[in-house]
Amino acid sequence: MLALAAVALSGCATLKLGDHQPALDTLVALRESGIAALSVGEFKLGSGLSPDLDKHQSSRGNPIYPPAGSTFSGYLRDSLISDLKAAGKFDLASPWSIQAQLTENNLSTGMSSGELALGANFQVIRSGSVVFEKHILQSDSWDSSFVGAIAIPQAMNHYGQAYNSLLSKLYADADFRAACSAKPK
Amino acid sequence: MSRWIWTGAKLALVAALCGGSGGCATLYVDNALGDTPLSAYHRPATPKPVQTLFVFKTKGVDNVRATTVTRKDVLDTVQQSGLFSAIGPDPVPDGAVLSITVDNVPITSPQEAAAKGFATGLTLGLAGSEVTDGYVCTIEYIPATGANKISVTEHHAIHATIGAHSAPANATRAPTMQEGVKIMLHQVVAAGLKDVSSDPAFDQ
Repeated sequence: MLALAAVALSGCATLKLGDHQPALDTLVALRESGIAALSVGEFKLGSGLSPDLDKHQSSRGNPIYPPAGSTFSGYLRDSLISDLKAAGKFDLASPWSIQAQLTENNLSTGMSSGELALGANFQVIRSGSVVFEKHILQSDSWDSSFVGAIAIPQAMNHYGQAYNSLLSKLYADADFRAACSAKPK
Repeated sequence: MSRWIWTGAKLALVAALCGGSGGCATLYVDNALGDTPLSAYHRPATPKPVQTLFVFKTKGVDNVRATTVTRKDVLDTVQQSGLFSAIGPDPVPDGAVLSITVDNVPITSPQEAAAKGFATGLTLGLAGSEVTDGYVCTIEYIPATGANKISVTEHHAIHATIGAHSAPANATRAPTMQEGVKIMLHQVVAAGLKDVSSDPAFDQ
């Protein structure tokens, strides 16, 4: 198996993101947030941006794909649904619905450092009105390596975690919580 | 094929740099932790269902690929413990949650592993190498919504020798890399579950 790994690491490989897994901190934060159960609307690429931003990502020439051949905005949507379900906060019939547009999806795997930016415009719609709208950006940087076998998996991990971090920022946002509050105003 | 690349990147790296000479790498699971007999668990009289979360990390960063491929092995260990009546990703009525995190941490640094693997490859295996991957397993259990969290941590290691190198002391040879990781995960999660079940708050 190590020899097979060596072969795989010596050339270009196709990298597929794994399915999003809710974290305990996220689950507890959502449970205690006081927000109502939410439905999830359309997630797509921001207007005027290159379609490549939503479909192609790579680390040193190795293409990265979301699971099940979806788009990266679709992966963000699936991750959000997964978190909401885990916290018991997902309801298709909810009057609140979240939608988003992917605005940044950049990954760089340099010889000495790696960096990324993942961003989206989120809106919460209630009864046809926008009750929350905010651009949220997740940036990250780390020490990289000239050795691809170290640098590429490392970049892949940081990139996958960026989706969790971006959504955690949304869940922690005071305006988001207020807009989705289950308590009557 | 790539299943274990991301869980033991440093081990694979050594193999890559030693020239990919098939069969030169041997894996050993550290013996310090060992197996947990089923009788060691403090099973409740009436086991409850629990929502189960699992994340595999590499140096503290979520590794979603490794999480996906190791998830079944970890959940099998939880199921076999008999501590819960049912496990799954969805919330349960009383809000009980079991969270398992396994973090692959450096013991032999990636840079050191690269240098060792390169030297082994350069000498066609005559200068053997040994590298070690560490694993920190954190298990957190919230018995019900609003209850205090029980938290335990266990440590484990997998050693790999490349080329002409003696077997590490106090370790058991794994037939394959896949099997070695599976054994490590089972042992470290089982030991953590035993400690969680020993907490007086577990069965309340």
